[in-house]
Amino acid sequence: MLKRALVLLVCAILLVLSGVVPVIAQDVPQLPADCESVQLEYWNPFTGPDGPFMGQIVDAFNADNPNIQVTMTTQTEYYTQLSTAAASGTLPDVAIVHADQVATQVYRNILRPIDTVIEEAGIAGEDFPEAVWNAGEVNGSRYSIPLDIHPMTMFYNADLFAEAGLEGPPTTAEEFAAAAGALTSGDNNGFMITAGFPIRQIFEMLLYQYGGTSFNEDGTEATWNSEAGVQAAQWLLDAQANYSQPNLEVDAELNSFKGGTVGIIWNGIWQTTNVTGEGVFFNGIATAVPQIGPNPAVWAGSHQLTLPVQGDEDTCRDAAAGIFIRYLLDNSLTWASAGQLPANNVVRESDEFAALQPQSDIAAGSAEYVFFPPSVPGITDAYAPLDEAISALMSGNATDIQAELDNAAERANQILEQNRQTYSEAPSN
Amino acid sequence: MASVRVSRETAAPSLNLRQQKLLQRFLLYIVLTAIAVLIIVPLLWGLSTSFKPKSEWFLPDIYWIPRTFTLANYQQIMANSSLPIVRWFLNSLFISATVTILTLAVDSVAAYAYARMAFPGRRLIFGILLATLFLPGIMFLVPNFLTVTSLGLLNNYAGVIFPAIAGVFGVFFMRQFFESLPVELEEAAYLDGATRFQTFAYIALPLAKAPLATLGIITFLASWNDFLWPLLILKDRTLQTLPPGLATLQGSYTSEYGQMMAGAVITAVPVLLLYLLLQRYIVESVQTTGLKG
Amino acid sequence: MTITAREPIVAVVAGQKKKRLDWVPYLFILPHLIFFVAFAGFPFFLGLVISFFQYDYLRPEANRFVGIQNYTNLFTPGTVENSVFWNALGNTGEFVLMSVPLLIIIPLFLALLLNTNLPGKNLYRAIYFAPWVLSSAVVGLLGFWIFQSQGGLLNYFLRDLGIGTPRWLSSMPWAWFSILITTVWWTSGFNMIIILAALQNIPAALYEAASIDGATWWQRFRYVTIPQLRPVLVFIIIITIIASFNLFAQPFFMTDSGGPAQSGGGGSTEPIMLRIYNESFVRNRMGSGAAMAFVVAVIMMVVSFFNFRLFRSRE
Repeated sequence: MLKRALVLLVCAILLVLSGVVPVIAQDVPQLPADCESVQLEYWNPFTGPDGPFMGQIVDAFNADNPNIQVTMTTQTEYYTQLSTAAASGTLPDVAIVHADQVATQVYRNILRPIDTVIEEAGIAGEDFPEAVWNAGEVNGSRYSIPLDIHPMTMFYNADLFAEAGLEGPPTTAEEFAAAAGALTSGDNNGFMITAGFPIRQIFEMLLYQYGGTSFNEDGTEATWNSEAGVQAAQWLLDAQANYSQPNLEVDAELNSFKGGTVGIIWNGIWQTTNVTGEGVFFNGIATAVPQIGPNPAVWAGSHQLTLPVQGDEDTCRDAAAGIFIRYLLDNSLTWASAGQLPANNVVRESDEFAALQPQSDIAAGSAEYVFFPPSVPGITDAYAPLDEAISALMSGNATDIQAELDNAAERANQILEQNRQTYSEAPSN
Repeated sequence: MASVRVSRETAAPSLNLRQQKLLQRFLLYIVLTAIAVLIIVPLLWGLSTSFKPKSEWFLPDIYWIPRTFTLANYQQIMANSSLPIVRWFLNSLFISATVTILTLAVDSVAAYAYARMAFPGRRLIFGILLATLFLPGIMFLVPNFLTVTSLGLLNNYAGVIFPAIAGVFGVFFMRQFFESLPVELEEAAYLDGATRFQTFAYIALPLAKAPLATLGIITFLASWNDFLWPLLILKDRTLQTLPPGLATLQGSYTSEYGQMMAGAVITAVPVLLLYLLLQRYIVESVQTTGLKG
Repeated sequence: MTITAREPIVAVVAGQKKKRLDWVPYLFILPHLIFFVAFAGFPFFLGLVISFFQYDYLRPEANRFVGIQNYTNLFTPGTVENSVFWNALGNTGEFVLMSVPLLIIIPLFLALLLNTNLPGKNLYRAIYFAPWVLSSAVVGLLGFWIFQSQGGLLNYFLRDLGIGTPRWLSSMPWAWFSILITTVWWTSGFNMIIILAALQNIPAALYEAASIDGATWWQRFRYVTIPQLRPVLVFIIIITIIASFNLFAQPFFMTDSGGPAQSGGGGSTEPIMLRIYNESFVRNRMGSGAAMAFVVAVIMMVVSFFNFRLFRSRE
């Protein structure tokens, strides 16, 4: 008894020391009584600066749960690694998978259903925005739980804003046009977009804002060659002509922004540490992207927690995995400080998160409006023709928007048809 | 050599031979230095960036000397407990050295036979080897992964080392050299009763120091910089080599220039040292054979 | 000097005892052959088999024999594979044609310059060789930084000259120009040391004899150096063709995986190896990827065969 109390005390101290305090602490699941100590392997693709933040959470979990020890491994070339691990039967117990990759990894026999595990761990769909939760459902079964949302984000140079007499970031099309116009003078560009990544993601966002979609609901057909698609591409070309420079290479907007000559850029929230705070010599600020079209919509990705396929059945391991996943969700505030938005509504609506800037600002303007592609295997393959089409338009190699989008849709439809043949067998798990 | 001709045309007839030679040298140094500067400028920028904080990676003007000098990029690599860089370094060293030694041994023996011995099937076998030289490496990726897995060599140094020795480049390279050697020495030794292995080991091989050093550098570097194959085969964090290990520094969407360059410095310096070491052998072999450039 | 074997010395000896098989040569080639068969020969046939299947090693339930479907897709206009495959193959072919002459002439020039007894020559050799020790990712990042439009090194120097600069990485033909320069910078040192090693093996007596006969620099180069270097040059041309055919990292890192994008699809600098990699490991269509690799292999072999013939017939 005394020993147990001591362990708890040590854990409590460690918990306080590590600075990880769960926001929602009620009904935390417990490991079944007949389970001794459990070892868990946990893989993620958090290369670069994100990794240490996740490592901090894992360390805290290990201190908090003496009977479960998690070993975290960060992998590069992530899906190749998962695939070769699957071939050799060495998949980890818990793994992060991107929302748009879940279906593909399910059909490749890498992931197994997660329903029972999350039920025991007390995780439910109503705690997440609908779009990000739906991304984890494939073929009628649940395979993943959203950990975070990483939306398209607007970054602006507050020093240039002040010089131009602008107050606060633009949130509407009119405000955006006024701000970008005012910031464009001499060598300075008010708004900069390139012909490379993430221009397709920006196009897709505008497409949804103008009322279009990238694919039909069951993911069998590309639908970006709609009127909304033409409007979105036209807006991009106009913005390029009015505020930006023609035919810029990938990352040019980031490098130029860091050089202090650009007012506004749109890129993923993962660029926050790169182009704000200590990453730049001026006052760089991150906030939600404005709404250009009539509908609110924000492009986003999401890291989802999954259970990879295992050779054997082990209730203790599954229970431990459930506890660990629950812990990651409850403590996603620490993860948010790495520059991501917690997917869990409770965490995202907590006072602690509200105090976290700029994440809470970004979340307010985007978390509810994110969209994801349909959960069908190989869906990311079908984006390749769209990538090329938007890039060709922005680099001036193509001029007929409708023809270019039509051609891309036609090729994407062929790819989707191929995928239906390739993945005609339902997953065995 | 190119400057020799230039100077001959431009030198005044009154210059004596010594002065003419000096002028040639001077012009040669100018050309050599100009090329060296072109080559070295990007390397210097990489080195300089490895000492810059994030905010200075991209500035409108080029600063060769960091405005704020920092060791943070190196510290993030060296002090990160999830990056066992010393272990990776030793793994890389062991794998590359083993691959190099085995390749030199196995390839030079085989090359000697293809160059100097007649045996049924020689043309056929060598023809097959030669043909695979032209096959794109990528086509072996999936089949070799399946082979290595079925041999149980996954997560094992051997899974990286063995396929590297299967290459035919070294055999081709060494055969070219052995064929260029005058055959008389070996014939004499052979007629004196030396076995063919003795002829190879004591006559031909000592003459092959320069090509062996060259092949050694090539093999070592190819193995040292190999990224995809060790990544597929060595799953265990403590078994990894430097290139896939250091790749975890690079964000999935962001380019961590400073840390990438710091990692490049850490990986490249040992290889440059090795080159300088082997360069002596190349020079030495020239001197011992009594040849001058 | 030819690249075919001269009459082997042991032929005479072996001819005397024709009846028994001489097994010593096989012992010499055996160690290499074992590795070769296990990790090149066998995988080759395995790859060939895979190319006739819809294949993904993680989905044994879905692997099925499709005959020559994977090949016919490549040759049928209008399929997804057709346009991207031939576009990428054409790009790589273009790169081979552009890069190989540069990667022979420049290293030959450097090797000739450094084939002297000049004090400090070792330092220059080391500097010229240095870029080759960098890994492809680092070279890609450096290449990108030199040619990028927003404060890149090249534009930084050109800006002061007051000339307008193209978009080096996102417009044609400049994207190729940037990739070429980066490749020359990266790999010339490698070819240089091989040529240098060969230059040092040319007997000095040959040059002395030529000098006595009153040969000019050009004559010595043309009638001593080049013939003596021929086997090595043939060798270098072949391995450079192979290396250029395997182009992957430079466009991957410098031109956003093979841009600029063309109207109607396909990147202008997208290399064939990237296409095969995507087919096999991103789309996980390993059968189709294997078929692409075999078509490329056949083309490379034909090209190399004619190379051999060309050099042989010149002698």
